[in-house]
Amino acid sequence: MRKILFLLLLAIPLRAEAHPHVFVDATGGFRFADGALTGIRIVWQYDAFTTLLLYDQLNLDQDGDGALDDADMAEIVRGETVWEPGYEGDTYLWVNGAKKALSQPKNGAARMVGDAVEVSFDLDLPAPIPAKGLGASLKLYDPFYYYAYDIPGAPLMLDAPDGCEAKLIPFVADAQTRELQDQLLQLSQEDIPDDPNVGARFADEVVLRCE
Amino acid sequence: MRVILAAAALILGAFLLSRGDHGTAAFVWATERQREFQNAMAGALQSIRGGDGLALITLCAMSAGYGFVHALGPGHGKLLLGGAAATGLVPMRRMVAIGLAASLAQSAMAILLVAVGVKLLSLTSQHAISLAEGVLAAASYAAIAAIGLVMMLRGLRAARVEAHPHGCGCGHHHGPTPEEVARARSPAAALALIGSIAIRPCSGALFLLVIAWRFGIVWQGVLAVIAMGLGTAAFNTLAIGGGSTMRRLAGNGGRAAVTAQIAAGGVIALLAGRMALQFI
Repeated sequence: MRKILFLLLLAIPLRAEAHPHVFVDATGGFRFADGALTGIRIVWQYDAFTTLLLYDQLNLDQDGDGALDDADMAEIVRGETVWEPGYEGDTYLWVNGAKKALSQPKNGAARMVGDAVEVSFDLDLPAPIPAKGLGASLKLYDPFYYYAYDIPGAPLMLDAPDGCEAKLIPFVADAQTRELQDQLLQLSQEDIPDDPNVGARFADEVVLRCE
Repeated sequence: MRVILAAAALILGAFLLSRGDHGTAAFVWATERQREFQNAMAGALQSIRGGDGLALITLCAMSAGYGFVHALGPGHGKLLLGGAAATGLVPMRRMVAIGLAASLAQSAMAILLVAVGVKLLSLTSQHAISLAEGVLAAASYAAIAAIGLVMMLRGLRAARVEAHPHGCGCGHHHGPTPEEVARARSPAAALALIGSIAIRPCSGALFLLVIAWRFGIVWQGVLAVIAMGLGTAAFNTLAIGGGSTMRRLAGNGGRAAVTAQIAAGGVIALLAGRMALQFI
């Protein structure tokens, strides 16, 4: 009996042994030029609580009037888009089944949306990839699930050629979505093994297909 | 037999919660609520800063709600408290008091870390948070695993005493009874339970304090963090009640207590131990 109990114990997975503390409403988008995919555009909107925390972490609002001015916005852009080496910005892109390295953030901008800070920036592919017949998958997640990313809106398509379509596959724990997700996965990234980490399990996915 | 059934039910429950769609749904639900509470806390903090003193009530209510749903997530102390309650060796009322003390001590730890670490020693708030999520989290898991191990070993020792009772039958009280061996009622045991949980402050409490300090509304932030601790304690009381109910389902008597203690200690040691190892 003890043996059985012990085996059962070992089978308990270490699921989600993390709480998210920072909530991000994210938008993912694909950027094209001359009929080729050149990179992606990311927009992060932080929850109001995390926005207040940024006041301390980035030493914003030094005049203490409660409002963020242009200098504060510049500081937010710096704080959010200058990444330490090795940090991928919780942004993972696969094109035609292969994971792609992306550039450091470019064209960073910040603004307030209500009581939430919003940051946007571009990440470039090493070289443009012809759109014809292309399949891509974009996932935004923190492997440690300290940051919880949600993609509430439609994906952005910037200068996309005809025949390209981007779809958001929201994370929903139901069978139909899973099936759709599986089909799309087969189309776009056959070679990707199941991502074992927690963040990926709860991640929304943006899928791009071009004829 | 009932003990074994109860132990199996406990493990099966943990298994389903950690893997099944019900567990996922509960987790997603708790995460969504946390986000709402967190945003409401931000609004209340802004209002207090703007001079609306009554918003303190909103802030405390939202912080308590945050503490409650946050405790529904994984980790922290409910596994330990629920497991200790499942052994039935500590009276339920005492376990609830220990759970409350642990949650409030956790709030106190957050206040101490921000007051001393950030304000006195000028750590950045990011340092304080990584300290809580790193070293302190590892220490907490290691301490919880150690307590589970002690629970299990005491249970095993009690089982041995039970298996080889003194045979004189003369009515004298020679060796300890199984329950005496297993019982962990000393203040030191209670302090170990409280300390292992409290050593790791919740990041949400740290965020709240850092923001309150920044806005110059320190005592409001301290009150809200205490309210957050009370919310966590309310959830822990549910975990303790669950453990205690399971214990009653398993029936009374020394044998049942000992088996429950070995099972609960083992579960706690294994799960917390695996978590502690992840930090190495």
